[in-house]
Parts: sequence; structure tokens; C-alpha cells
Amino acid sequence: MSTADGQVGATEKIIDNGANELRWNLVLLADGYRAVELPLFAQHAQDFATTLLATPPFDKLKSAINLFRVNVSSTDSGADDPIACGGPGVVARTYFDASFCNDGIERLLEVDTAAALQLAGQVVPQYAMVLVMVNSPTYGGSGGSVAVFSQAVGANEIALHEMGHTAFGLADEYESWAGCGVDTDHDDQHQPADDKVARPFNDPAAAHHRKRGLLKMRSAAESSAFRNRRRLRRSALLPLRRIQAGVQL
Amino acid sequence: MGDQQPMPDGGKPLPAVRFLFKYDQSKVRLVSRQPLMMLVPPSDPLQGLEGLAGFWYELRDKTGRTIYRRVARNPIQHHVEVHEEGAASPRRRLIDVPSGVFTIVVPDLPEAQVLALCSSPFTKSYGPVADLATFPLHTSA
Repeated sequence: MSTADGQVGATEKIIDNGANELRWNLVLLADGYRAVELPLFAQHAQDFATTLLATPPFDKLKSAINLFRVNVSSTDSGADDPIACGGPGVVARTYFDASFCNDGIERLLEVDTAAALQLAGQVVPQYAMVLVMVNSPTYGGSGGSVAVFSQAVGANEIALHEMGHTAFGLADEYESWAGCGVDTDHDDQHQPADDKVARPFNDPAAAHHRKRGLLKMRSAAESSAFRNRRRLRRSALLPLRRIQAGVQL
Repeated sequence: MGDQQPMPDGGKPLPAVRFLFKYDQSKVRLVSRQPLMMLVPPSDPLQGLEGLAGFWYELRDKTGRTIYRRVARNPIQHHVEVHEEGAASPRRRLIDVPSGVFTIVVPDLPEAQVLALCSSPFTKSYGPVADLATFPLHTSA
């Protein structure tokens, strides 16, 4: 139920495109994998890497990306799955304390985010994003400072979706008010007009785009991970493209 | 990875600092700071955002002048995205008591004296951005 319920093993660089100081570094942490299951984690991580590099727009940006796998073992397999949300009531002793049913939401799978960020900072100080792969066949995940996803079919999409937020700086108001997600309890009456919101720029050149409105990004829209994000600013891709091109941000 | 284009190492990593914060509702506490070398995004425009809603963080010099700013997704989550199996898009649900952690990375600028987190107020009015929390970068300052 805490970092006492496991052990941190080796860190493997499974996509290596150069020095960490010069790349966009993803750190993939294991949770709910017992020591004997770490080879399975290695396979899951490789599968994720394959999916990542085949998914637009990451397929065109692959040379900007490093991916690390951190072999974190847990005492138990899986994740907590409380009865309160209809789960079997499983309690799993895992390093990052993965659990479904956060905030009473069945599929909301979360971990100890502070522990994940602190470990990532130790093993790859230049990390751009931290992902936690939970060894559970039940569909679930979450976003925020750390993206969490299970091993259910299609759960990789959760990680890719969250990477879109981090990699492309898509802001909350963008997601909420422009089609990425359906509000279930948001107060739409108080949304500010589009030109009253400061959106992540990612590049100063985006300023004039802001005045002209959001631009379509076909490659992103083609991805199932971004299928509901019909309009993605072209400028949002610039940081990764610049890393790819080897120029200073 | 064999089909990728070779990448020139023309970029230059710079001294930077990663800050780790914890938040509980609207209160933000600095947990740690970690110096490192990495590519750091350039500053967003320092002017022209007055009166806008949203979130950004910035560095200020000893006169209070902003010398670096990044507009970002608000890391203080007042909602969660719920990904449901087979659903076309995630749903969003408000959180009763927002709490969590987040990190930001800024360039380690010698003239920077203060790190400021700036956010719209945590109400449904989505008002203009104001200082949420400020942190001195040099304890002796």
C-alpha cells in the first residue's frame, strides 16, 4: 500500500535517441508487478513503445523521444479494486498504491503521484512526462501530473491521450470547451469567450494563431487517441519538432 | 528505430530547475527543487496577457519585472478525466477537494529572484489571472 510494498530495480532505456539533456524523455514506471512478473512488464513496455511510435503525431516525432522503463516490483499483483465501485474488493500491496474507484469513480485508476514523480526525478532528472503502467486487466486510468493506465485492451489510449496534453500543452479550457471530453458537471454558463483565455503557446509564433482561431491538425485528428480533438494548433507541435531538428528550444 | 532520420545534436541544454509542489485546494507548498541541465522552453510573451483567464508561471527579477513566463495547463486539478471503456471521449468530473502534486521546470536565470504561480481564481467565474503563490529563489535575498 506504499513504497514499502516493493522495490526499485534497474532503469532501462528502451527507446534511445540520444542524450537525455537533448530529448523529450518519457519515464514508464511499473506498478502491481511482482518481481517474477517484471519480464511481463518489459513486454508490456515494449508493446507500449511500439504503439507510441506508430501513433500520429508521435510517429513523425520519434527521433525526439527517449523512453525509459523503470523496473519497480511490488509485493502483490494488480491494484486495489474496492467493492464500493462494484469491484471484487481486492487489496493489492503495490509500490505506488494503485487503486480503482478514486472519487467514487469505478474506472478512475490512480497512484501515489508524489512517489512517482520523486522516483522519476531520481532516475531520469530530465523527464518530460511520467507514466505508470498498472498490471491489471481491468480497464482504467487517469491523467494529470502522472498518466496512469492499466493493461486492459485499449488502455494504452489513455496514456497517449494524456501525452497529448503534456506534449502539446493543450489546456483544460481547450479540452473542456472545444470538444475533448464531455463535461458532466461543469458550469457552461460561466465559460469565458475564447479570446479571454490564455492558452499554452509552445512558441511565440503561436500568438497570431490565437487571434485567428485554432488550426486543424490532420495528423493528430487521425489518431484514435486524438479523435475527439478536432482542432489542434499547429504551433503545439513545435517543441518536439525543434527537439527533433536538434535546435535550441 | 532503424527507420528514423538521424538527429543532429545542435541543441544546447541549459541550467534549469525543477520544482515539485503539493497543493491542497488553493494552497500550494513547495516540496523540493532540483537543479538539472536540459532543454528548456523559451519564454512566452511577457506582455499581452493582461486580463486573460488561465494559468502561467513566471520568473521575476529583483524589481518585480517578469523575465520569463510559460502559459500552461493548470496543474491544480479541479476535475478529472474519466476514461471509460469503449467511450469515444473521456468524461469530466469535478473533484470535491482538489489535492495533489505537480512539477514545473524553469531556466536557472541568475537575475531571477521570485518564482510566481499565476492562476484564475478557483471559482466558476474564470476571472483574470492573479498571483496564486510566490516563492523566493534565494533564501538570502
